[in-house]
Amino acid sequence: MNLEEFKKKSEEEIALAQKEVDDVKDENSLNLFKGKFLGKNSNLTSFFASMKTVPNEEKKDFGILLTNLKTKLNAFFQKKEEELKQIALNHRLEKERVDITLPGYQKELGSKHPFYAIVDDVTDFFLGLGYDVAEGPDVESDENNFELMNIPKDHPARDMQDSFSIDETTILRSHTSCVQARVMAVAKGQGPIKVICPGKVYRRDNDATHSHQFGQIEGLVISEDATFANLLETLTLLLRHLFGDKREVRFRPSFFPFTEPSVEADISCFECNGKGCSLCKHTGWIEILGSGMVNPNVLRLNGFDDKKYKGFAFGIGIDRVAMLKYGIDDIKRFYANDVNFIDQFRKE
Amino acid sequence: MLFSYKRLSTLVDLSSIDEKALIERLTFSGFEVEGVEHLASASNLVIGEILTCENHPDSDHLHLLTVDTGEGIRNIVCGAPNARIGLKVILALPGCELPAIGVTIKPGMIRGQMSDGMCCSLVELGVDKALLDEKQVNGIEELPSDAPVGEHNVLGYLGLDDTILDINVLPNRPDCFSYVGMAREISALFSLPMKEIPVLKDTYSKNIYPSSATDKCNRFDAIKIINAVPVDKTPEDIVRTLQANGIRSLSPIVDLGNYSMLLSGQPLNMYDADKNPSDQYIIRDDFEGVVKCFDGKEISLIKGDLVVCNEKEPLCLAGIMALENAAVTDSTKNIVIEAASFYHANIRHTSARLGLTSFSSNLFAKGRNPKMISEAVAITLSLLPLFFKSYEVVAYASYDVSEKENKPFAFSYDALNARLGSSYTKEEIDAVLKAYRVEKKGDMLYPPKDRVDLKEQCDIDEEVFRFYPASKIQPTLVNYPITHGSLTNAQKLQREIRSLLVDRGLDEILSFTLISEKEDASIRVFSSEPSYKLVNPMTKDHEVIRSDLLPSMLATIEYNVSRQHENLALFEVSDVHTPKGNHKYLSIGLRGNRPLTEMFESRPYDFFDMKGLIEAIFNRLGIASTRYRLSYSKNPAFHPGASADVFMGKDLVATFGQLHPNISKDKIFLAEVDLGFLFSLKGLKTKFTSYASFPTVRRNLSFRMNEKVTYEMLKKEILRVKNTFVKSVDYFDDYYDKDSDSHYLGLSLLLGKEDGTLTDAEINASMQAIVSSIKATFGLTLRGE
Repeated sequence: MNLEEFKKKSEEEIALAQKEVDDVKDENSLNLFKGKFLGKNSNLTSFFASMKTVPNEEKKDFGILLTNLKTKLNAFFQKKEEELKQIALNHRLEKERVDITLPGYQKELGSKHPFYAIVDDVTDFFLGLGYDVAEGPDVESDENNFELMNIPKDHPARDMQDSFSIDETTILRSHTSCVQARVMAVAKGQGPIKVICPGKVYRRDNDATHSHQFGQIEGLVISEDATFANLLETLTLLLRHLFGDKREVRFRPSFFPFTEPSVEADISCFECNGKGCSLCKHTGWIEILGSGMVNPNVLRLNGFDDKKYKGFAFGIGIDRVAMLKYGIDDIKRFYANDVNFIDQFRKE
Repeated sequence: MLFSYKRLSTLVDLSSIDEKALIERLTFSGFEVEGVEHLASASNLVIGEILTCENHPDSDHLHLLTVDTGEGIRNIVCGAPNARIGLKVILALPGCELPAIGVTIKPGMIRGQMSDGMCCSLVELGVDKALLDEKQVNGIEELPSDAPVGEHNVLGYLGLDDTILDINVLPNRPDCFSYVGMAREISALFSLPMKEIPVLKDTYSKNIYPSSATDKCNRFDAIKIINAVPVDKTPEDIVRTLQANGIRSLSPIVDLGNYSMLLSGQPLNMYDADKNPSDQYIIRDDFEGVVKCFDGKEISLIKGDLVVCNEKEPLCLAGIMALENAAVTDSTKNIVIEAASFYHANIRHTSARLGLTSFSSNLFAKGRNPKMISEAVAITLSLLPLFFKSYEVVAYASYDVSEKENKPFAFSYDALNARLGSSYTKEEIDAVLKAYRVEKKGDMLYPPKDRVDLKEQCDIDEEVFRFYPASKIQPTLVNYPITHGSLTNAQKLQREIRSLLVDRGLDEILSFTLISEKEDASIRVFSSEPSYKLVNPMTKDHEVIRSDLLPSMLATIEYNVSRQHENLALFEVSDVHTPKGNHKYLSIGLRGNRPLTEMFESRPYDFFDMKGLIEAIFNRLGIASTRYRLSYSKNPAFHPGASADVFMGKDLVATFGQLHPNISKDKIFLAEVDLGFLFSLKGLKTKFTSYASFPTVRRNLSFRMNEKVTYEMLKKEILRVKNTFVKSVDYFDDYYDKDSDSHYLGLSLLLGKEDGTLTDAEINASMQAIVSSIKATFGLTLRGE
């Protein structure tokens, strides 16, 4: 067989293999194809055997042609083999298909109580402004709760806060303002002070909108140059943090025995954006908290020089903020602890 | 307090401002207007005259009327018993809306007879029944015979076209619990002129003797009037003012007292002068005994109740109620009027104890200003001609030990702006001082007599702030003290423990501190000492300050179970206050099934779910298991075989496990942990240690157990055997074989060397040493052995 003849045969072999490989549909016919074109009895094997009869000067060209033939035949086989593998794999994957709409496996999460969700949120806000968190007991002295807060015995303002008594000098605190007295006692007349005091408070008050137990967060700042303008900005930032950047905040003069001047802060209603709805009683505004400049008499009573130091204080109702923020209809839900209620605050 | 707009406008000229502007300004100067109501409201009314009145043929109480409206005659069916020919009436025409009764008048047939309108009572126009007499409530309103038929502005004709403002007067402004005081405030805020307020000209004889035997009264004025002949009827406009304030007109003498009080803020009491011929009126606070009120009711008085007496007996319960022996009656001709200042706390305590409160006792409880009694007397004297056809003022005297002027105080413009962070000009501040009649001499300010709340500089700061819009002060953080804020370690740990429990699927609860005595006694963990008890509880359910959190946890579980929430995992962190000290506890409750990660699968909670939580908490706090020990709980509220007390040294730090069936038939797991104690401990310090990089091997052993041996004992013994290369021992299986009645405990041992790979020979030798040691110590054999 001369080179030309071999070239021709080789091309015929490639053409045949190309034709037959298209008919290969499964592993069995792939094996037959392999045997026929690449196996012991294949033409390829006999071509290799005939190499020894080729004249030396043609051996090189012959060899190139032969290798080329083998490569091509192998390529047919490998391509088809890969194709069949993919088909088989796809077939398997098809069988492994899951219903992606079924629910994922869960490790059930619990939920914070919304009351504490608000406490945590407000605490984080004030930590960012450099406040500490002060604590005081629920069972408090009459002195801390009232007298040191500028509400002496027989003061008419005591009627505003009817408290629970344990004995003549001990009560359940009626507001968190009493923690102010504790903080100031520890400071021994030295500022600056920046604290918030979250906690439970108690009043002899129980009707549709009141609970005998509720929560407050007191805030107190005392320094040589704290101003009323600082208070107004602090409250504006806080209320926007709690109720959204778009809220308008307004201040109305008010009265508290421990602050002078005193203000109440309102925010524009977030339900109606100030247009008027049932939530804001058609005023466009919602009353949120009370605050003011610390009354100089409170500073004096608690060992601070009122000529040197100034301060401001504020108080936020935790339940009230939670009710407004989450649209809770009844304060009594906080203390009933129905899990259907608590579970609604997972993301808080 | 309620204020009639019409009456206010007789004291301060409101003609240049409208109602809305007034409400807005008041609200933003510290006098929140909490309500705006109309004394009466109705549209489309007319004054008519009944021309004919016949009985309805098909009814025993209805009348058929023809009514002249001035613009024609209408047929009206009317049920009022007082309908009669010639009566002038208020007629509601078709289309008239009566919001008080929620009706719009329409022509229609009533039992077969045409009715083209409705004759009205004042109740139907919206006047409160309590302010009207019986005849006015039960029948249609009877207008005077000279009422103009055809008049459409009926509310105006009746003086009912008034707006009532409900203004929240704060406790620091007792002067504004009066029309004159509020008018002065409005006058200052709007720079509007006040109408003239009478000034006392004392030209009277002193033959009346008010005095006080107690320091609880510092001023007591008395006026004596003789030969007083009351007018037939209190003037209509005054009746309307009384009604606007929720006070019913009774008789001219009573109305005089009430009306003068509304104007001046000073309560008055009237005595029948003939019943106390000595003319001595002495305030005492040491009377004890029973007295009879003007309405015949007997009350018993104790020391501290203030009374007005003559030399022999009480005549009046001061500030609260007249007594029968001196009270005015319809036949009273000679009158003594008392205007006094009583200490607010005495009045408050007496009226609270006796359950007697009135407009005047409420005013006294807020504190009255003795300096303003002269003005109250002047106002009263000026009103006399409106209430009496004839009278003679024969004496006026004043007992007065009160301070005559308010104290002056120092003031600085700069200090005001420094404190408020504001930039009010001197002129702006002076304008406020002028508006509020505060005199300035040098650096000293002299507040007017009526303003007891102006005592020092900060009170002026407030006046300036509320006089101008709040927006005059620019909110800013400039000058804000810079401080490093942070949570304490305990506060951080508390948050982390709460997060850990929420991550593990527990819901946080918030329960009441006050519980019932029964609940308080039901479960106690850390102490059996008595809890704090309130002296003034509102109900028995909330009477005791809990000493432990578990009663609340149990109640919360029961509440949820009753609402078909069967599967519960709850916790609460709370401070607890006891007479022996304050603590911070954690309570946990598990009940029903625990959801597993596999879909729709769950299994009942058991002891080890709770134990796992407790271990996780100790782990999180860095408290090694070697620092605490468990023993079966002795607490009678817990299952004796499935509960544990956790001790650190001698201190009980937690109790957890299954609730005793005696407490609840339900299978509930509870825990209470003394978190405050755990937070106070030093946790493990985090420090890196190197770890071996040679492979480890695991070998499992399953021992046939007996009753005496516990997992903990096995583990300790295995770790005790020397040279076994055991790094840790874990529990992996608990198996009960019914056939052989045997209990097998499977342990998984991790073996390794720091300096090389273990050989099979080393491993086998270790395992043999362990097995023979267990056999020798406890007599236990391996499974299958």
